[in-house]
Amino acid sequence: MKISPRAGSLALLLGCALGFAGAVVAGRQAADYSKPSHFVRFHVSISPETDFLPTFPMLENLALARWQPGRTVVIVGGNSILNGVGQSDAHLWTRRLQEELGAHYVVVNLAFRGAYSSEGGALVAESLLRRGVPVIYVADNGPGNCGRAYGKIYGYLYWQALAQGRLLPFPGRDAHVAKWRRALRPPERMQQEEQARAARLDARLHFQSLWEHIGYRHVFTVWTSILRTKWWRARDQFPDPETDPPPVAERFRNSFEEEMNIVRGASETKSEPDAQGVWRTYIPTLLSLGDEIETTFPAALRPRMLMLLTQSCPAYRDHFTPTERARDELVYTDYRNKWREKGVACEITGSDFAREDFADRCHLGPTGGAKLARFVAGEVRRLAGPAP
Amino acid sequence: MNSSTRFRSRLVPLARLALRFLAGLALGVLCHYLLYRMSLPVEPFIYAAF
Repeated sequence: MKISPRAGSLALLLGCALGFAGAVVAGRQAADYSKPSHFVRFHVSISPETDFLPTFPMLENLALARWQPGRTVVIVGGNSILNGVGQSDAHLWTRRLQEELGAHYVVVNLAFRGAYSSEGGALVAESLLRRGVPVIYVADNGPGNCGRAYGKIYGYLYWQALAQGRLLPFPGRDAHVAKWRRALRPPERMQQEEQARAARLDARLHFQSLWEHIGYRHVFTVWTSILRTKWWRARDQFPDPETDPPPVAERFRNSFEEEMNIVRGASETKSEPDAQGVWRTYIPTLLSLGDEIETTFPAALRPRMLMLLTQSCPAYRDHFTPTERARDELVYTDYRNKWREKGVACEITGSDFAREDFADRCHLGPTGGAKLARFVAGEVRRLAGPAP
Repeated sequence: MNSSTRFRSRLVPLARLALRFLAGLALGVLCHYLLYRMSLPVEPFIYAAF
């Protein structure tokens, strides 16, 4: 029996097509169910810092898998403060929040280290709202911009959500994205276009869903320096490395002046002295926050949001001069009012916390996390309305 | 040609065909994986709290 070279080539081509199609089907299935197991938060080993890029469907699956009719999903977004840096897994503030809120609520911590309040969790909250799932979105911000969902490290989640049709119609945001893309320098524009193209392709071929799922469950295929010799191990084998802070006497010792400059800068860079030397909030920056809110958070989501303006530790704020203290209070109040003016519930948190409630300048320790959870639970109940 | 030689003369081409098919499968999966690798960001993310 002799097989022609043509038959051999056909077998290769057929195998290639079937192999690719099989991977697409497996990716499609992974997009439907893949999510980190026993999930509590995105710790360093399951985050972009170690080249693990959780996909948008993965984030959404985390929320949808826990939701049942009659329950309200509380999505926690924002940065490392709400992610719970400074609190071990057992003392994580969102565990306390779940306990405070009880069975009518499902708390899902989708905050990432270094993320904006507009990234990741905000998009999942928007997607759940689009599906008709009752949702409250809790995030944090300093006084200043809330950032955009696109253009930074977590921007890939925006492109994925957009390509998969998970976002609400929002002409204001679309117009801003178009304007922003036009204003980018050519290399950056090319990078963003590549990211958008990859997300559009992934919406059909599901390569990100499949290979991130394999990386989480079976074997990780991207070398990463932080995990050194264990880089190839499946990410579900890595425990959450976050620990509780050292005793209070050992905290707040390092780089005091640098930290003080950051704490002062929170209000100094958002204000200016008038002719009499009295500090006033710098209006153009405040107005730009207003524009940003209007073109970042859909109008339907804003009444379901709680924005926390987080204050720094009193170990630093206690060193303010009276003028600095007054300026700090003024700026925080003006920024809180701007959020409220745009229809977002906003509160300043941490002003009445003790130094032992903080793990460092800005992150909370276990006691601070518990205080925050109690406060947020009350606000969430108020926003959600009467229990079903 | 005895029956064993006849069997081998049929099996070898079929095995070659099957091998090509399997190589094709692997190549298809590899193409899918390459799409994933190409979609990864080139710049590392280094976290710092401000």
